[in-house]
Parts: sequence; structure tokens; C-alpha cells
Amino acid sequence: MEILRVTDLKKTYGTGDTAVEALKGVNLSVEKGEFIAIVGTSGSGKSTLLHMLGGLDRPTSGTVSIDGKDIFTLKDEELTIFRRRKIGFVFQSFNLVPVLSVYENIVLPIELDGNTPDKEFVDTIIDTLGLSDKRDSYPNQLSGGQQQRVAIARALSSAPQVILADEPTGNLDSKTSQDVMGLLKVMGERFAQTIIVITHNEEIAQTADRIIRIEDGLIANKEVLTWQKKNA
Amino acid sequence: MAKEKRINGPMVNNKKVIRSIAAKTVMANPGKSLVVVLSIALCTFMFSALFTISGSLIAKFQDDTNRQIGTSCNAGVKYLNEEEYNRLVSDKSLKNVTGSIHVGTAVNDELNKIFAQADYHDEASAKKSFCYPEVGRLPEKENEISVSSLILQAFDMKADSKEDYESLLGKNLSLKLSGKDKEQTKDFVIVGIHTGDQVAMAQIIVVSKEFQEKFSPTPTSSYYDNAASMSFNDCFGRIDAEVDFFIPLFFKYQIEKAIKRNGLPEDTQYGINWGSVGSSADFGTIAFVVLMLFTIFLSGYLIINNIYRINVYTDIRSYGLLKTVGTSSKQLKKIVNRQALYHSVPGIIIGITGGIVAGSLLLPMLMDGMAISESIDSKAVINIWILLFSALFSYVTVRISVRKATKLASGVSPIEALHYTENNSFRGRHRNHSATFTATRFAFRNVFKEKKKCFFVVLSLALSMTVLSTVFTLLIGFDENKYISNFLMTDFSVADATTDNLAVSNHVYDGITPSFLDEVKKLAGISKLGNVYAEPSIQNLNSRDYSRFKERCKRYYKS
Repeated sequence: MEILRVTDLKKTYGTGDTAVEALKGVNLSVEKGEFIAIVGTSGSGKSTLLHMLGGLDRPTSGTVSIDGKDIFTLKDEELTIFRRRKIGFVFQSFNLVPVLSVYENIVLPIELDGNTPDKEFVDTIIDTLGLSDKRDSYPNQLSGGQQQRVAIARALSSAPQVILADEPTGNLDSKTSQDVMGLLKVMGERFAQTIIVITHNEEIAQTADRIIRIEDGLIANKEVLTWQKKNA
Repeated sequence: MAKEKRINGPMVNNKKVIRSIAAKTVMANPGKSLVVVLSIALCTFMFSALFTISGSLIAKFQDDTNRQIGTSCNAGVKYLNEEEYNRLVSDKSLKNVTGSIHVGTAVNDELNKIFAQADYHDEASAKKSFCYPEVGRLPEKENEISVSSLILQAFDMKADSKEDYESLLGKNLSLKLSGKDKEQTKDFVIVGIHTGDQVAMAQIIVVSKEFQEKFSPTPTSSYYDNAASMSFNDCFGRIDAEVDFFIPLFFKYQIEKAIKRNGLPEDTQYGINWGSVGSSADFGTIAFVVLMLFTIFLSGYLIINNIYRINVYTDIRSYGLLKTVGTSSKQLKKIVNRQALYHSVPGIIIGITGGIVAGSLLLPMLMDGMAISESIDSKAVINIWILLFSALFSYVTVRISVRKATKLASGVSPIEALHYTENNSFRGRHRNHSATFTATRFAFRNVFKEKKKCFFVVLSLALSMTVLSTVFTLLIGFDENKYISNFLMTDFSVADATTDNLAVSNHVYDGITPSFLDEVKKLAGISKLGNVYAEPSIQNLNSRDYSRFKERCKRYYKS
């Protein structure tokens, strides 16, 4: 079942002589439950693509549909609420709210929606990610890997349609990077979550089911199915 | 099912998380929060000090004038009979109505220098007219009186303290009372004494109802049935109603409405308390007060606005992050507003406390140079309404000041917040010579990098000084000598005491003799001496001139 569709997505920054075409017409389809890695060199447009997929920025033209809904037909406030309910984010720099504890960061999207967190579900996520003894700690008391795990937990807690991860291992050492990617994959499988990871690291990308290459604002002609997908 | 509900559920109560984020943000950076709290405290300090001083001065001026007039009520309606008075009493649109009855005037020789008025007052009226006994009670029997200490002193009775008053209770006082076409000397028993006021136009002798009904009974007919032929004598025994309004403004308008509403004659005589702030509140005065309040508000607004804008700039990445994880613009506004509330509470409390203390300490210094300090104390009047008004004024200023900051925070784009800098509209000027780079030059250029911001910062600093110097000038800059010279030509005026005593029927106009003048000329320090000559006369008017004269008097009193 298709969960995300991108149609002729374009994004241009600036005007006239200083205009930069970050995306030149991207087309993409993602199935529910897929774990996709989008790889590209620096400046290829992969982060721009992720921002568009998550509704963090608006394109110059084109559409992004999540669960059948064209997200750019929504007004800013509606888009924010849509993002809160349907999309989970994991960033390179973790982006945790420094004044909230680990638990409060994890349940933030749920509480912003005015709902009560499903205790059992949240506890499962916390336990699976190995954060049980860090519930009351604050982000500045955690290591990089722990902070990224909290970010993953936050992304999962609201049971979104899609999780978007922008260079989630960018600020981590190799060992921790492997751990984090492994956790993402496990959590994706366990909760039937669709995950899209942006990375420039080919090795990291190998953990995904499918690798999509982006160059100069366009998807490369060939998609690469990883060995996991081939052997599924 | 729970997950479905979580995804598709409606927006419900998320106050708890908003409050939590706001509170934790405030607590997370105590240094920054302290700066904000102090800025709010300083503004509140300024507001409450100003309001304490001005409120106290207004109350004291008002009190002083009330004491001169002899009543604290808003307005009075004169010469009523019982039926007319009762109409006013039952008027629900009036806050309070009390009444007094003019019985007569004490004309003993000892009272040549005092206008001693004998009235009947009930308890409420006596309190309003500053003649309620401090020692003893109001009179009940025909021969009982409650009296001003200054009247007793005129009779050479020692009445300087409460102990003296106590010793005088039960003593006799013989008074020669002049009423309607009669004069009567009667021995009264002193049952109550109040401290007489030097500034009052008349000293009061309170008689009992029993005496009033015998000496000056209240006529049943209306004074205004034939007011043209009435003389001052016809006022004895008539009720003077003292009225208070729910809204102490526009007294003339309100009393005229009350007279009309209660079916009283159109030419009913009334007076308004000209000492009250509300009596002279015309639109010009109100506009001036509003302008002053706006200037004071603006000076506070600019300071707090600048502080919060800086706050938001430094937290912009946090707000962008919150936007990214799904905090809506409305929620971000609520978070910033809630932070403002958490800053306001301690700031306002500190500011009000400091402002009241400062106002109370400054007031005696300010009043020291004023003539009013001769007749009234310089203690600050701390009123719950001043406190509430200062707190409300400060809180409203904070809420309005924060609006731009909330708009900035709520409008942040998640992507832009990651690399947010202030709007750099600086256009570098080409410099023909190379200048040595110094910190001063860098600071100077940075100040003018954003001209609009620079303007508002300078304005906020300047406006506070403007408010301070304006208020100081208004209070201290008043030259009493210059003001008084508009009304008086001399430093001293000497005349026989009966010259301007309304109570006395036999006025002496030649009390100043040539030999007296010779003695005055010999006094050291006399630079100039002049004489004013007067002689009483009766002006004969024909009916036409009398009508014109009466009409002008009516217009004068009504204005």
C-alpha cells in the first residue's frame, strides 16, 4: 500500500542570477512499512527533499501526498498539526527540547495534541531503546547516542505514518551510528513503521531495504534494492 | 484503537504541556529571566511611584478643599422642604443622600472673627460635614450642643487636646443665636466636641432636632414656589441635601439630572464640590490625563518590548524546534504569553512594593515646598485602588509589549530557525579612506546597523527621562508666589474682623484708624502701604434691572 507519493517536486532558492535549483523534478513512491535510504553527495538536494517530504518547507512546484493527502494544500497551521500527527522527525543534531526531560521530550507531540500518552506503548518504546533508566534525565546529561535514541523514541511515540531521519548518525561515532541505525530498523519492523533516512554514508545506507540515489536535484535512474530486500 | 484515536483525535486540552514548557523555559535560564523580571519591576516601580504620589496629592488637595468647603459630598441641593428632600433620598440613582438644616448663626461678640453656624445634622451628615464629635456625642435634648473647638477657644476655654475636650463636656455655653427674624440667647450644655478646622469657612455648632424644630422649624411650603420674593431669612429651617454619586465625575450634569428626575423646580439652587477632581473633569482635563497615561505607558512598553524581542531572538532556534515537532503558531504564542505571565508576577510585586515605598518617601519632600503642607500632613495615601490600578496597568503594558515577540516566535519557520539572524538591512557605505578598525567603530556601526531598532531603543531611554522630568517640573516647578500674584497684590491685609464676617450684621468699616496706620508704618520690613475704602450701600433697582440682575445671578450660580 502506497503511503507516500512525490510528483514532479521542484524547489528553487533565490531569483535571477543567484537562483539555485535544489530539486529539479523529483518523483518518488514509498510503500507502507518500507525502510528507505536516500543517498547523495553534499549539495545534491537530499536534505531539501527531506524538508519537503516533512512539510518543513514549501516547494516551488509539485506535490507530496502522505496517506493520500496533498500536504501542500494545507495552510501553515494545518500543516503543523498534520506534521505533529502523521510525521516523525529525527535530525542530525538530535533537536531535543533542552528544558524537558527524556520522558517529556518523548511524549511532547502527543501532549501538544492534547492527548494522554498511551503508557504501555510509550514504555515499550523506551524499554526497546534502552532508555528506561534515563526517563528523568535531561538532554544535557545524555551522550550523543542516547540523545539520538530519545529523538527516535519521540518520532515513534505518536505512531506517525512516516518517520523522516535527516543524517541521524551525522554527529555520532561509527559504533554508535551502527547501533542507532540498527535500532531504527528494529523499531521500523516492530511497529510496521515507514522510515526514510537521508545519508551521505553508503555503509549506513546498506541497512535500508531500498537505496535511492539523488544527484543534482534529481533521482538517479536506477534504484538499488539492498540485499535485505532482495532476500526478503 | 487507542493509536487510531491518537492519530485522528480532535484538538483537546493541551494547557498542561504549554504551561510546563513555558515554566521550564523560564527556570532554565535564571539569568535571562532575572533581567526580564527586573525590567518589568522597574517599569512597575515607575508606574506605582507616580500613581502613589499623584494619587496622594490629589487625595490631599481634595481633602483640604473639602475641609474648606465643609463637606466631602459630591454636590448639594439647597433650601428643600421635607417632601422634596425625601424624593432625593428615595432616588436609587444616587449613591448617598444626607441632609442638614440651617438653624441660625451665633453672633456673640466673642465670635466676631469666626463665622459660627448652628445647624442640625444627623450622624451621617455630621460625618460628611466634619463636625461629628470626637469626644462625647451628638445632641439629643433641646439644650444640648456639639461644638467646634475653635468656638470654645474664642470663648477662652482651653480646648487644645482630647483631654481638654473631656474636661469641657457637661459645661455650659451661652450662645446668642440669630435666626429668621429673631435673636435668642440661650444656655446650652456641651455634650460633644470636634476639632475645628482653621481652613474651614464656617465653624459648626450642632443643635438637637428638638431645638431646631422650635427655633427654625422646616416650612412645609417649597422655597421655590415664590423664590423671587424669598430672602436669605427664608432659608432658615430648610434642608440642604448632600449628595454622592456612584460615578464621581461630571457633578454638574449629574445633579441637574437628579433635580429634573425628581421633579424639583428648574431653579432649584445647587452647588457642586469644586474641590473634587470629578467636579472639574472636563474633556480637556481628561484628554490631558489620558495623554500623560499614554506617555507613561509608552515608556514602559518600549523597555519591555525591547527586552522580549531580545529574548525571542536568543530563543528562536528553540521555537523553530518546537515548530518542527508540531507546536502550532497558536501554541507558541501561548507559550510566550505564559512566560510573560511568569515574569510579570514577581516583577509586578517587586515593582509595586518598591514604588509605594519610594512614593511614600518622596511625597514629603515634594510637599515641603507647597503651601498645602501648612494645613495637611504629608503621609502617602495608600489605596487598594492605586495598587490594583498600578498592577493592572503594568500587566497590560507587559501583554501589549509582548505581542510583537509572540508574533515573531509564532511565525518562525522551522528551517529558518536553524540559521536565524536578525534582519541585516545594513548597507555598507563606501569609505574613501582606510580607517583603523577599533572596538568603538565596530560598536558604533553595530548600533546603526538596524536604524529602526536603534530609534526605539533610544526612544525608550529618552522617554523615561522625559516622564521623570515632566512630573518633577509639574510638581516642583510651580511657583506659588507667581501664581498668587495673579490674585493678590499684597503680603498682608489688615481689617476689622467684622468686615468680611457673614455672621455679623453690624460690619465695622472704619476699624483701621490713622493712628493705627502710623504704628504700622513704623514696623521694620514694611516697604509699601495702601488703603482700601469701603462703604455699604443699597442699590435701588427697577423691576427691569432687577430681573436682569437675577438672571445673571442664576447664570453665574448655574455655571
